[in-house]
Amino acid sequence: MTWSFLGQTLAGGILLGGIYALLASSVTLIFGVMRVINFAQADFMMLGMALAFALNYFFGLDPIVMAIPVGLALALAGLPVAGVLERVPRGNQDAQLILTLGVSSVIQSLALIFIGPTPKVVLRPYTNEYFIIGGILINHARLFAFIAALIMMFGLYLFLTRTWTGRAMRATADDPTAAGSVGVNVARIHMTAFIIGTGLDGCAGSVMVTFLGVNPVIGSDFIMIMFLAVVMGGLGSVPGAALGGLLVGLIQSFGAQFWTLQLQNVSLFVMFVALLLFRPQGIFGFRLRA
Amino acid sequence: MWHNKISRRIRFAIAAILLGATPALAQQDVNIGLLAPFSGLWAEQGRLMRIGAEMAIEDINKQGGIKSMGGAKLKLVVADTGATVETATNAAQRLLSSGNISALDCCWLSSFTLAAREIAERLHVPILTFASNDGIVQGGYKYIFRSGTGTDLQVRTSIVMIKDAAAKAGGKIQTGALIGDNTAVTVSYFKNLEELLPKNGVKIVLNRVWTPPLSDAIPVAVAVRDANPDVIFLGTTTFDDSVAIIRALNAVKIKRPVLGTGAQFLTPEFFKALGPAAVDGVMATQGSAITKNPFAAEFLERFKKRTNEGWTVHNTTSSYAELWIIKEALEKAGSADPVKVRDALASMNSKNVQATAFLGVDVHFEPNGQNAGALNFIVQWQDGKPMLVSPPEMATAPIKMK
Repeated sequence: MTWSFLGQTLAGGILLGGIYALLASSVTLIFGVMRVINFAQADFMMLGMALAFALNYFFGLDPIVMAIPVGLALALAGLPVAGVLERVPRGNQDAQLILTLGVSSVIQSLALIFIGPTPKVVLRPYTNEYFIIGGILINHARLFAFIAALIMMFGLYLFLTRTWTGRAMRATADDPTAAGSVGVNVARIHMTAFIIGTGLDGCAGSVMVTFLGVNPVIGSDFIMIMFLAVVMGGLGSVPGAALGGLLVGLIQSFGAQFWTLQLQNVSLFVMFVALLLFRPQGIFGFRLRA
Repeated sequence: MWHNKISRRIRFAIAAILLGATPALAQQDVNIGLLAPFSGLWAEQGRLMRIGAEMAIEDINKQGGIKSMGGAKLKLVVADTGATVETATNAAQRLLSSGNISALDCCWLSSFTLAAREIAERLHVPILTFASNDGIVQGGYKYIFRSGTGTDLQVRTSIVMIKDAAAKAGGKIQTGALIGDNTAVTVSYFKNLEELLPKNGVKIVLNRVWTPPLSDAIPVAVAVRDANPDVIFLGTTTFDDSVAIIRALNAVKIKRPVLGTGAQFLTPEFFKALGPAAVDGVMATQGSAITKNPFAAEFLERFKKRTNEGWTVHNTTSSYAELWIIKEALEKAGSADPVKVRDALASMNSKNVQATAFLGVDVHFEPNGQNAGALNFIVQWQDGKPMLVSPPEMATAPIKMK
């Protein structure tokens, strides 16, 4: 066991965790504000990857530079789903779950028709390049994606804390009735939260396509991790989701090296169960009292 | 007058039907199943299989179909295994329980083939496959037939080839690393390597196996670099893992021969993701290949025109060959009954160029369903082109050692 090996494991976990953090933030934003568990979330990420691939393929545009426009496009794509979800009576969680599962299935099927089953890859000059710092290898694409994810999460933090809409969103998450009584248009805030969530998925997808091939079902590799990160961090908490994402990346990375590679995701679930035993509300969550 | 003309035409049509057109018109299509991954982690492999199967069906039908069955045409019935053994099992059950499939070409991934084999055996439908897990032709199953090699032969011939090539280049192979996922083919591949490498004087210095997908390939590549093996045996089956591990091995600048098993290291998408420099020297075993046979060369030209892709892998050539093997069995059986087709396959000794051009040998199945003379083909990336480097007598280029 060398320091460079430990450093490599740590660096891999942090880079991975940064992306998970962005994805988890989008999940928790939608859940926190709308109380909707959106199973199509990872499929919006896949759509972001596909759009970024298309922009690169047809126009030579860089996916990391295009992350914000791709995010905006995915926010627009989320709008009709948000509209339909808003019409589902509040509290009818079965209908919400089935609706988001249906949306997931439709997105995957359409992607299969239009982009095909073959993984689509973006090869940028930095895709196969590495920085070597003290014997630790850091892939350029993963590092750029990580930095882009950090910037987007910081932007989300500023939006939620410094803008009227962001504050209204937090108020709606805390108590929609009270928020409505002080003039917040709760339905509009719900829809805004949803499209910001799908937009963040699009941004994440756009930066991820620089090191991962896109295929219609790639979302299935991420959906469990997204929810795991959110629950670890505390449902509804954006900082919690970010920390949860980072933790998931680190546990995966260290679990693979210090336990066994075959059980890299099992180590994740073991840690998850252990955490919930001691802190069932997650790291940043709060316990509801009867 | 007009009335007479019509009557004459009708009478001619009736006569034509009575005099011989009847069998052709009455013949029903013969359904051949193609069960492969068309979605999920291995979808690219299924796509390439389907092209081969469709080209074979078109060629067979263009040449008059099954003559012993009055020119019956073949029809491809396609089903998707999905990405898990459970979905593959369900797809096989649905496809084969329809009762109108005469034979099945399946399934690319050994894990899926093992699952489909159980159902085919129960429903008495013969399966043709090139999946290479050794267990596929073990256990006394009567309805499974494999056109290509199993991992046992792949490993035996590969070790000899690599040691010879290293000796010619003035080097020695004394240590090896095994890295790959835990799907059935890799388990079988590594089991043989673990047994045969030490017997051939090669010490295994690293053995890393994971459940796909791999979250980060760099630590694996660093472990390979630290173990410093003379040769790396690669058992990744998914596209993303295969790309990530080659990218990571390049990143740690380890210059050693890399030998994978399967087509995933040779597809156009794999090449596009990594570029010519990163893939250079990577080798992969194949169950069939574009040999020097002129028919194979002509097939490749047709494939290129059809797909705009510059080359193909054993998914396409094996599927094409297997559909022609099924065609020959149907001719011999003179029936679409899957049990009779199975019997015809079991007693076959085919020299059909449409199969031998890719398999390199005549087709004759042993009692366990293994094609008796199956060869281990090895293809290597050289200057951005996939070159057949083994068996030596069929090679289009000599092997290059790093």
